[in-house]
Amino acid sequence: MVSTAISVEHVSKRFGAVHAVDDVTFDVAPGTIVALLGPNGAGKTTLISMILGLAQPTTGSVRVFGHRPRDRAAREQLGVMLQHVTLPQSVKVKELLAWFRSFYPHPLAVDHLLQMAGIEHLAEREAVKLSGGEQRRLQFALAMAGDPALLVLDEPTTGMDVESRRAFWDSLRSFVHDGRRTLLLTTHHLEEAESVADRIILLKGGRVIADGSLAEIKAQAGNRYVSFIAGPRCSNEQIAELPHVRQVRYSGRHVRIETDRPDDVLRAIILRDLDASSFEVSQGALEDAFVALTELDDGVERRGVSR
Amino acid sequence: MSSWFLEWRIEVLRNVRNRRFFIFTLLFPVGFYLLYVHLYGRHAQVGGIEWSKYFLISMSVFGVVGTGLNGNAVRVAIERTQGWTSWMLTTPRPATQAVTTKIAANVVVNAIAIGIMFVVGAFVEHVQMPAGEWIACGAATVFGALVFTALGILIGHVGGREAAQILASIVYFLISIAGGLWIPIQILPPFFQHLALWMPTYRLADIAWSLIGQRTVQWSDVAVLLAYLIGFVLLAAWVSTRPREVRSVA
Repeated sequence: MVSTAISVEHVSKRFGAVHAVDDVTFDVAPGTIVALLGPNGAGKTTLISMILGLAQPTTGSVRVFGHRPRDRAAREQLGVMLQHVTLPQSVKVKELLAWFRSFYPHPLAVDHLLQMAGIEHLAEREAVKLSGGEQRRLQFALAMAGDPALLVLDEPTTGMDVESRRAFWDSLRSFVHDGRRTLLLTTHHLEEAESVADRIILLKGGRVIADGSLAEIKAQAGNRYVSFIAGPRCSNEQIAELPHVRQVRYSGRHVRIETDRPDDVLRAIILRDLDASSFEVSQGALEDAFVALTELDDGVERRGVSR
Repeated sequence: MSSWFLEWRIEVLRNVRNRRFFIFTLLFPVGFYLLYVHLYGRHAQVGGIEWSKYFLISMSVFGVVGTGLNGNAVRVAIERTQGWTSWMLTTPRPATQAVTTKIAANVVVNAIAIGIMFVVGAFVEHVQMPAGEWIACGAATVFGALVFTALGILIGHVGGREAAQILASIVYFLISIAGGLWIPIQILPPFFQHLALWMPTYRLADIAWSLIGQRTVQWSDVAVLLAYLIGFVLLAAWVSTRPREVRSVA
């Protein structure tokens, strides 16, 4: 068995003077669920195109299970959902599934695929006439047709409503989280990445600015949050005067303090006898880490320029 | 069923289910035939052939031009520009399968179109020919129509969906008229008679007219058709492999 599902080595992609991807290196171990995140224009889609063999790196190399991405051996193990795909006209759902299955040596059964994507009732319908969310689910079934060892999903939940999004991730978890499949995904919904990913790779300006488990990413962001409910006798001035406060966010009576020293903040609140209750110390959500790390990177760039 | 045959079957079904196929390949040619076959009196002679036979060939060729252009151009353009082709490149599907199944499907669809035209000719307008002539004419038209299949695929590679649709419609009408399919070139001014000689539409129809009129099939007809076929295939191959890396901002 090959020890890496995806291997990206010093990969760069230039379009004229623009570095869409700039010296990116990482390996993905089989069985891992990796979320590739980053602001718009970070190079996610370009990087994914190179992993899928749809674009050639300007320099560097990409391997999928040890093969070049364009090799048949790599593609037989690959299942893909791209961002914007118009399905072919005048083809029924079950015909599309049969069509995709025919490409692979060991495809999954049609019924299984339909059920996995929750579209059993749509088998006889014309694919292009389905709603946006239904088409997305069909595309997921098509991506799974070859029983792929590596699943690459680029913004899989675009076009789905909240309910289908939840159902989608639920089914994805049950079918992917058995350790047999490797999953690489991008999404704009950070809470979705947070709920499924074992590992986060954060991309910005074509470079990897953070790479690690959820806990590691949050630790790297260095954010700590002290939250509490402020009582009537607790004034905004008192809160602002607390030590090590970086930022305060109020939502009604709920107060959230961003700090690098949560223990000292807590101690000060107790010692100064502020009118506060329901304390909570956390690392925040992935979104907080995402914002902090991308802003931190901006700061580095600015300092670099002013020097 | 092998992947190739499955895809070929789906391509045939996609053609047949398409409304454009019904309109351009069946309704227009059959409709025009029934409308204009009595224009000069059905026993009038055109190019040494009865008008009802002559025009049956004209409209059969008109039908297969429609299939080749209107079906393929738009479909190829959509697949190419709206993600489908990229997606298929990530699967293990053989690289040539897309185009070979489309061409093979077109042969079937052309055979259906010609079959329907001939049935209308034989049973509605009582056109009579020896069985050998029906078969020879039919086969020549079905396979000669591959020129228009190639042209349709080529147009699909030129631009997006709208561009392909507009270009396919323009070319469809222009080469049909200029090739003498609507009005026989014998009654056109000399300029148009010369122009027709350069049209694949005229050359294909002329092969069938020769077969009916007991004339020897002219090598120039076959040569011009082949030249167009090779030209279109080479152009399409060149256009489709041109590096076209568009930067997508996610």
